[in-house]
Amino acid sequence: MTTKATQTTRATTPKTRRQALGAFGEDVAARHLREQGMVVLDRNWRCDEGEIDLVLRDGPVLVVCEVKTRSSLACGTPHEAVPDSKLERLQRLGQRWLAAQGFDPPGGTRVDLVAVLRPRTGATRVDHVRGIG
Amino acid sequence: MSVIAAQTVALDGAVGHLIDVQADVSPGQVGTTLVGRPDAALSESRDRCRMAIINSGFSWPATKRVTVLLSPADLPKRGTHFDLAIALAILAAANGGATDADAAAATAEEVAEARGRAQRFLDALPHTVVLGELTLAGGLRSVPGVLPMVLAASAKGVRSVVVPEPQVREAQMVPDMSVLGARSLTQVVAHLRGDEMPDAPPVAEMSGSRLLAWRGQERLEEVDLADLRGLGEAKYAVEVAATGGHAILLSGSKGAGKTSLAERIPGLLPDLVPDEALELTALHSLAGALEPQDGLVVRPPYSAPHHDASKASIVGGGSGQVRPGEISRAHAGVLFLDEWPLFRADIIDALRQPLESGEVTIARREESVTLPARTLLVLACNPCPCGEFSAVPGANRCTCRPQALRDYRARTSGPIADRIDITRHIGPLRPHEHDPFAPVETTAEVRARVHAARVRQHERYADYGWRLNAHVPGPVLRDRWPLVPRAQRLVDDALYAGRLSSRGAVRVQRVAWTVADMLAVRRGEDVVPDRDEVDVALRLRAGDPLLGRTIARAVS
Repeated sequence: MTTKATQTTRATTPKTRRQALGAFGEDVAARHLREQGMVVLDRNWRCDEGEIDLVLRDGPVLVVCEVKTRSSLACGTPHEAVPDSKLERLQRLGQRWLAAQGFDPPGGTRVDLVAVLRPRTGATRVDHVRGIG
Repeated sequence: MSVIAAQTVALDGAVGHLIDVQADVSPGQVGTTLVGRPDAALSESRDRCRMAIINSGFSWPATKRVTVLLSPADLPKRGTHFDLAIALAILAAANGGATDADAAAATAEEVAEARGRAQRFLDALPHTVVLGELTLAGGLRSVPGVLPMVLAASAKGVRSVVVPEPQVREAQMVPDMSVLGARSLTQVVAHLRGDEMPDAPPVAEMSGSRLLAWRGQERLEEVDLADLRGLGEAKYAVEVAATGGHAILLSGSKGAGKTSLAERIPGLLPDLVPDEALELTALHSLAGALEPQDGLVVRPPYSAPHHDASKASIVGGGSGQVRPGEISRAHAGVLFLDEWPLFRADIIDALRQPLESGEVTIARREESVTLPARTLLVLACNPCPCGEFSAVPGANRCTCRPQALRDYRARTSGPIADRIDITRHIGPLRPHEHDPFAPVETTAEVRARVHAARVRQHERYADYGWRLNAHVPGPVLRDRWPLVPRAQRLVDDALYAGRLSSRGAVRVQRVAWTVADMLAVRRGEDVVPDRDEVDVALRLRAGDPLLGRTIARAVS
């Protein structure tokens, strides 16, 4: 599957190649989190303020998950790509999502990060950071 | 998870606090936070440490949250010498003291060996005080204040320090201390792990202050008391000041030799005793004025600031870190204020407290710093602003306006004048003083006498911790070493007649002891102050001419 995706994206413009990498990462992340026993409630939920990559339920806790995918570490680790402003936005987006659903999780809300590294050669690596910020 | 702390020292004036630098590396939002009240230069340490660790070939925890605590957290911390401790604490927390070479270990023996070395690093770190600023390449730069920091660490029972290589000699002045001079972060890690020491480029020394061929200090060593003809009274007064540590004022018309005489006073002082030498070297280190190759300062310092100086430069202070002023840098030496009425009035007033207590306390919003400032104060001034005034009516060529003269007198007779023990007027040379064949004493001869008289004082005050007559507190002096009744009567007469303040009475008693000590050295027998000695002290204080027999007795 990996080789096929590479071949198909290479012919397209840079922008869509990046989008494809992001979508691939989100798929990997969703599968990884499901394996941890979490339930995916929503994917790529948007409002005027931005987008949540994954909304999940981890027991009683609602998890807002940001997925960062990189093909190399040349420009820093995926972990480093979540500055304070992004974190605050994710927390606000979580509240917006809850308001839109009319739902109040008993365990509160948490922001997670899944870093996906898919190098040109070798295996894809996934790192799940529970509760950033 | 237990946190391994690296040790360093924070200086609060001349007081050192041992600082625990703890690092925690755990999942979370990526970034580095430094807590424990760092100042701006110290906050930048995060970036220096990160690049130094990466460029030294260690791995930086780029996917983790790094929290560094400098504890005690309520103490404000300044300076860049925390870098090394911060970097080592992060390495301990992130890699547990392991290096990339350890990861290459293949056999079971190699793995065990690597584990042992990493454990040695973790064991050694909490017992070693580390000081130094890091460069981006991982080199170790010199920092000011190494000696007082190592002294503080020694007082807290630390027996092992790591300092930048150029400052090894400074740290080695502290007894019973094992000192490593390192050039880079990799060398320090190798030292703590017990690895073979890697090579590193040499580090730059801290200052470039000796760029010019300036020889100001050396010039003082070439001047000799024998260069000055005549001035018998003034030379005697200067010897009294040097022997007992009494503040002295030299007044006289321009060109009379005030400055020449003052420059020769440091030469009259004997070498510093070990305690003084360590105190002074620590003060100079704090001021960042210690040259690495100098070693312990053993000669008494001489400081002659210009009258335009700011208050902070004289008493200490400045923005940011409190720096010792000239009065502290001249501790155990000579502070010479030439043309002192021209100094700003607030500077002169600020000298009052240090003159009494021998220390200066700089209080700020959040801190209070006390520095030693037991210096021999030498003041020089003209008799009037134009410098031509003479008390002898025929010789008076003063052109100052009366108002200017009054203003000048007001400045020179304020509260500071009451704290001056010896006042001498230096008049024009008399014909008989021109005798080229008259024997003239050299600096070395006088210094030998001053040394002997100081030894007497040390022995007398050995149980108390004072060094010179000028340091003895008034009540103790009256109680423990009273004057004989007939000598005391002389002091009381002057006191009741209003010629002497109560403070002045104590100061006269101190000078009388110095005069007696000098006489004891001359005669080789024990002398206690009597009428004659008190009379000399009173005359020295009031600026009255000394009796001929005093001079005769002093030079015979």
